[in-house]
Amino acid sequence: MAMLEVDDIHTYYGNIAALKGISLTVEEGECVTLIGSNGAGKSTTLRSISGLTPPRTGDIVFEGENITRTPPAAIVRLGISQSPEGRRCFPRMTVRENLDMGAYLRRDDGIAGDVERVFGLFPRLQERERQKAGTMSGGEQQMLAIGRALMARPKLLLLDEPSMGIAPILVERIYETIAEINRQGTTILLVEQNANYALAVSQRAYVLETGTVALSDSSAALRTNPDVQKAYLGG
Amino acid sequence: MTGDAAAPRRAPAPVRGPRTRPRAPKLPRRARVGLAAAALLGGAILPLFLASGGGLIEDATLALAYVVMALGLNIIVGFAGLLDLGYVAFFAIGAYTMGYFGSLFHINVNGGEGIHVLVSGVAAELPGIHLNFLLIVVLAIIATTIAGMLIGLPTLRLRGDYIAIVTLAFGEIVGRIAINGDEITGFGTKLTNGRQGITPVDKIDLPFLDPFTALNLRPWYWVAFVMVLLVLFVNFRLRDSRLGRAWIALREDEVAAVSMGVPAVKTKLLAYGTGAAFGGISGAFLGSYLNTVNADQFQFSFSIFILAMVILGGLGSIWGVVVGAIALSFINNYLIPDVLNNVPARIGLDFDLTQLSFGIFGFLLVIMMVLRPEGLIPERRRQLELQEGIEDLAVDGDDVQPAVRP
Repeated sequence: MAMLEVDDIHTYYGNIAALKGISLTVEEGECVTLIGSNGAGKSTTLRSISGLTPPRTGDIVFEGENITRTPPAAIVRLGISQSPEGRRCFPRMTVRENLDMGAYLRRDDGIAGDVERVFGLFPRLQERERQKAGTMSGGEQQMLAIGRALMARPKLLLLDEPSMGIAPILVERIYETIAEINRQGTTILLVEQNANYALAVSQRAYVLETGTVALSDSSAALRTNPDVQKAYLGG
Repeated sequence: MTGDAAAPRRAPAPVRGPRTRPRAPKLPRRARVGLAAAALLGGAILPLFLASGGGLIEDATLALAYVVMALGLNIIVGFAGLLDLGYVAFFAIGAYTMGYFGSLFHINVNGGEGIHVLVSGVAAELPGIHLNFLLIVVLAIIATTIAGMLIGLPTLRLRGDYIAIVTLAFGEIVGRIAINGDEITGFGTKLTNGRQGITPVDKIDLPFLDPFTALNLRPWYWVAFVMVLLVLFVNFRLRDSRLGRAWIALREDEVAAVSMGVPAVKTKLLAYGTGAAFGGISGAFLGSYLNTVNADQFQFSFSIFILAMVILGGLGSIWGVVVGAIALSFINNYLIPDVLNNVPARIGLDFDLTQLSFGIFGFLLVIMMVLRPEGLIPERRRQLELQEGIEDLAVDGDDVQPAVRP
């Protein structure tokens, strides 16, 4: 059985349907990506999984447990954590305080070790440990947002547009690290407009269009798909 | 999902030029601990230097009661960032708890015999319900915590100004009920005594001590002082706790905080509940100290008065709020009525300065906002918030500008 099974979810903002029957699966150890244009429902899918905007109908099952109506805190506790769209670091907390917030629900004594792990993945964060997050560049804040999500020690990591608004050189560095996180065993569900990077790092992909899944395949196959190339890869 | 969302949620404020001052230097830790200890010691022995019968000690005791309220409101507004304009409701509920369980109000209860629990002196002989002051404080805490959470519930889905509107309405509702409660009857008793007030109210009666009197105010002062100490302790513990961090996180970015697993509902309700409880403690004390529980005490202006203390001292800053509360309380209860009241008359104007009290507070706040918007003793994070423009420029040695658009 897949680690995460999303079955025909419909999610609304008020009366507006953002998702009109999305189904997808994520196997343990995979890196799966959702690509698509503005308003396709990529972020809403992640927000539905993490409980921020629960779907009106449909089911989300994580490791055999139905989490469709589970509150966000309990979902984090089950092992899903999210690096939200737009980074959303706590601007007036230091880098270290942000990371500690990521471990908010944990009471074990492995937190210091996980901070070291995050610093190993993003050495730049260590240099800026005592700096206020709001004073850092967009790329550094993205690193912090990913690091903060890792501090929950997730089994499934949700990443929402990690390349958004970031200088290309830093995007590359961030994507190398995402690949590394996946290699170290964390399952990843990635949402991205920048399909080039997303298809390079992931094993499978779903193409979303106006709240439905238009296409799904292995990332390698999608990269050579002429329609995808035309619509999303600038080919 | 637009590229625009890449910009920080609040665009950095433009630099304000020469008007912005550098951040106040931070005193070394030892100096701060020393200052705090000196202030507490000074506060503890102050009554020995004042006449015990009234005047300054009366104002000082009142000021301490206001410190307790301001510290309570500071948890809601300063820590959790929920603008509460109806704090007077908790004063009212605390005071009425005192009035219900420590006065002649329920005069027919128990066939006119009264109910007495752990009280001595005159109160033990009178009809009505008379509980020990400490029990009443516990009841006041329970009542205001529940009320605080009830008012919190409808505001959970709201933000910013809308929270202010709902809480304002709640304060008004409680105030109106207090005024008109003398018309509401049930179980053989009225709900409140309206504008006549419940009076007299039992004096504080503590174990091993004689019942307090209106002639010697020193014990009252010390009780208020102990309340302040307890509330200060709780404030510091809360600020540095997991809950304190959760409040800051919710204030800074609610979505991110929820994503980290902060339970927003529980965390906000705890802020309302604890903040309200402090108002209840102080309200019960004031009911006894002022010897009346009177509907005219519970007006909207009181909420603003306490909020002004918090803002004057520095939102979120514990010591700042203590200083702000003492300062405004002395201006209101001593400086304006006792010292400066005749100034307009002396220069040939036909009014008392007390009539201008709220105008003076408003003026003080405006001056503060211009000269020192972060408050008398600013909280570190809030100060950053108000001086963000400069901080953003202070980034050095970076290969990317903050928030480049794609």
